[in-house]
Amino acid sequence: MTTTSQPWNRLIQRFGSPRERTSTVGQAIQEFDDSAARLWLYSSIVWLTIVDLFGLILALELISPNLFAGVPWLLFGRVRPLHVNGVIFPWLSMMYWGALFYMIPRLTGRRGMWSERLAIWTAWAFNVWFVLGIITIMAGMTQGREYAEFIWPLDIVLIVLWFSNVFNMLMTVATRRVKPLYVTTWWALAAPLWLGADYIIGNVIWRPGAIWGNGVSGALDTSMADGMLNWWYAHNLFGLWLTPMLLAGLYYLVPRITKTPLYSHTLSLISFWGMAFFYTGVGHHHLLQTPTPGWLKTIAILSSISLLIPVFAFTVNILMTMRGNWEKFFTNLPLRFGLTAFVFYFLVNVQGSFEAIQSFNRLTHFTNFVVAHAHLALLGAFTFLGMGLIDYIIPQILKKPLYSARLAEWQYWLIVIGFLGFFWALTIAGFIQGQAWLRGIPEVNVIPFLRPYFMARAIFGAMIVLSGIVQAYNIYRTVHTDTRHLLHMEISDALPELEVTA
Amino acid sequence: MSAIPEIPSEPIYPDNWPPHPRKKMVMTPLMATVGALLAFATVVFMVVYLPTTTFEPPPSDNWRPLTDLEMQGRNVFLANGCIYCHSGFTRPQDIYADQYYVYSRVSEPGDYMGAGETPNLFGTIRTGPDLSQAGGFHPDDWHYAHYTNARYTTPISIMPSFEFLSLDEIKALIAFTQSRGGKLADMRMLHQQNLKAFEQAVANIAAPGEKGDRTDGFPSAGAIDNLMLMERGYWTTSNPLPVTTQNLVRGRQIFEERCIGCHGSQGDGNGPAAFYFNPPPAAFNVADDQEHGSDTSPGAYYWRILRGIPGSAMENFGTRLSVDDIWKVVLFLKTIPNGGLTAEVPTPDMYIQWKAYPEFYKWVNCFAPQEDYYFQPSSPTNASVDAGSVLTNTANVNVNQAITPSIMITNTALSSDMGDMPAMVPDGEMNPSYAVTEWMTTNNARPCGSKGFENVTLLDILAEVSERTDGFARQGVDQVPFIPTALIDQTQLTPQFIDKVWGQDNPGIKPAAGNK
Repeated sequence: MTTTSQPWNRLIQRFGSPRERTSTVGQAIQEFDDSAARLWLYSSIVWLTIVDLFGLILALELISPNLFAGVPWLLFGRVRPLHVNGVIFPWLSMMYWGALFYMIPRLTGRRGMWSERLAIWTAWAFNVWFVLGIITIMAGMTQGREYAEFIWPLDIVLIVLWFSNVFNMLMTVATRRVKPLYVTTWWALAAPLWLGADYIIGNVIWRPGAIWGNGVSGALDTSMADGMLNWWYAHNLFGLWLTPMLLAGLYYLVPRITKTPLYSHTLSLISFWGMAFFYTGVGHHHLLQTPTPGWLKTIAILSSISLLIPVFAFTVNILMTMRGNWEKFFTNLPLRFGLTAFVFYFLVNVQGSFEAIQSFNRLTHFTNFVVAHAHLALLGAFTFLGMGLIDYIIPQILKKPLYSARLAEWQYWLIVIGFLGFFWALTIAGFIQGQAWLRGIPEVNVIPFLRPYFMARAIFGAMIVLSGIVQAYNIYRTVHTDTRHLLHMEISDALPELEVTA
Repeated sequence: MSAIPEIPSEPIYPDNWPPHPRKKMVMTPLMATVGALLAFATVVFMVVYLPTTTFEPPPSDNWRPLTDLEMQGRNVFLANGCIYCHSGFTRPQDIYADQYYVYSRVSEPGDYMGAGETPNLFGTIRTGPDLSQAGGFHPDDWHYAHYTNARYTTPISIMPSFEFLSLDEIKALIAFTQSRGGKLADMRMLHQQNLKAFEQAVANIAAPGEKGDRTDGFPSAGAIDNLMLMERGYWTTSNPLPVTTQNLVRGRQIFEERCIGCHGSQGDGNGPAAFYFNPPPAAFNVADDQEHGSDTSPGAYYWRILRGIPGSAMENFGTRLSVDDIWKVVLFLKTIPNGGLTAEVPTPDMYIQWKAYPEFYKWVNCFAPQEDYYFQPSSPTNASVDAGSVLTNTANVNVNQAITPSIMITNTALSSDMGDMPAMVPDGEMNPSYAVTEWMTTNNARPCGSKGFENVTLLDILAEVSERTDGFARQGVDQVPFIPTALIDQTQLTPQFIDKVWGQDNPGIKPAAGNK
């Protein structure tokens, strides 16, 4: 570590705690209480494998529909909402909250969250909530609205838990020691609030109806209004929660690992306010072919394309921060995950902006192209970032390196190859469907053409499942093994005080 | 822990530094929370509040409210995640890209304005077809078989099995599916129910010898009923394709891919779906089988495959198979009695050439003489539907006007309105198919055939039936299926009694009880 005027050191000098300022090594040596972060992250790691297995069940059922025939709780139509909601909530959201509970104390100069106990209690309740969700959906108790399938009582539980986290976050920032807010903290304040509002409005909480499902519940009165609301809500799960958290995570991870300050405050502002205004309006691009108002479609298309502004701002910001640091892509695995996520994130936004244009949409609407696009976002961008955050944060919390660098490499390559195969198989299948339909070939006749692509998808999907299992095993062994002596591994930045003391 | 001094908002710069740089926008917690929520609320007002409160088109002409049973079915549909593979709205490109499509109309905003008919069924992916206009294209028993195992009716399907659903859930789900498509679906449903009733009733019409026997040399009532579904020209058409091994092999491939679920892997009408169907699927493995042999020319087979047979589970494959593929299947069917399905390759020597027996041509020329078959268009002033309807005046039928089923059936404007259902005619018009079958069941005889009715022609029947004012033979949403209860119990045709339709009263399983 050099003691000369690296930009990082200057920031520490300016904003750090007295201990940081007097230290010459540019690291905050402070005891943090990361118990909540750990619990949220460990939970998310377990859930990742479970929701991936749900996905594998779906992939297998599309190849061999009789595989689980006669078992209603493994029906495609019931496992699909569990996979989708499972990826969003117990995997990505728990991982993001865990990452926030790690990052925000460090960014605000606090020892931990305002209430670690509340966060821990919320984590356990969150786990129980999703288990209840699995049981109810498998039993066929559902509201029947995509991304909002959970029955009304479970919606209420989630809202309570969510706002307990929001409250925790607000109080943490209100009682912070470091006054200026870093960009990650802006997102940490805004995004959970957006999701809370999105969830309440989108799940139509004020119309409980048949609260145990299988009746009208959590929906507006006509299916026209309900449809427009449903897809606005669904897209904002990604746009106003998952995407902001990706930005928050990368804004932390990249400067932190490269020890380079973020390139531009202005670009961060553009990315924040651009998302706030543009992302909220894109939801109707799911409904460009429905008999809904044209003005709403126009707003959605314009917002979808305007999203390129904050996306480019963010992209430039990260790329410029990475100047001179690119060798770390190869040596630092969490950064590699993060940067791969970054590339996929950029691609999915460009792809999405084009997909929202009517002429292209007419081709890809209703096809597997959309499924591939969704996985490029939730898998390629968010899950990759999640793995990067986990592989970075856990060793930092435990103050020891990962158990096995080799397993971590396997984790990376399994999911990269698995995802790329998955993505291209479904994209090609989607093009086949779209072109065939536009040439007058009905859907049922196209099914046999898709079979090899569905089989490829299942094989690559199995690799993705395996990657999550490898991660879980690696983390498990890290927790339970004394790896402090394994300093020759280059996969995570060891804290300087770990310089060998026998 | 010792107190950590607070870090001030403004950094403390060394004195020798240049003056304070320009002030950047400072993000305070207030900006990041309240400001973010304000931005959110602004857009929410535009894209959520405004459309859901101001876009309120009236229900469309085609819409009608769902019944309680149909709403229950809607909930079953949602509970089992059907929207994840089946979308719920048709798009302009579905109709205008190619006529090959099954969708009868484009969804309109007013289709979705029923109060309480919620949540939305827009859907997200089409693995399978859109279902928003699905009502009435198949009878209830086809749906029951399809839900039990989709591959019974559609071998290439990848839809899961819904056998675990209770019978109440299945009935509700079927009712819901049949309701999709509004009033047009109801018309198609009524048409299905009527024709199913006919098909069962005519099976009971007495003939010399055994039921269906035509030892008197004329087509059976069932054959006549079937022929009335199609254009007269097809009654005696032969296959335009040559009998070659390639054509037979292709026909067999299509048969194995599409037909064996109902018609069986031996072509004997005993596929796994056959258990659910009334009338049962046709058997092709008997060389001299009358109803599906001599009475059915290749052209008639072609018509039945292309357009389907409403009332039975036979689908209209014209929406999924090309024309030459259908003719090749028809070629192949005539090799089945000689081992076309079991041999390694069906060869031309297995082919049974269709030769109608002489009485068949006599019957055709008696029943529907060619000279009566030339269309004279009705006057535009009394046409209730332009370009096709001839029987517009319910009181006086001008029997010199050609009254051919073909006009009703093949008129494309009507077809598109009716959604491709053979033998449907506009609301209120006399349906020749209904008229003939109703005459046969009432008189318990076959026109141009049975003793005492040797010279009754199609025109005679239509004239006689049209004089009645009780509307039995007319197409219409309000029309009650009219088969005399002596012959068939119409309550057997509704979802509530599906188990009775094939369980005890399937003529394919047990002999029918005969006339009461």
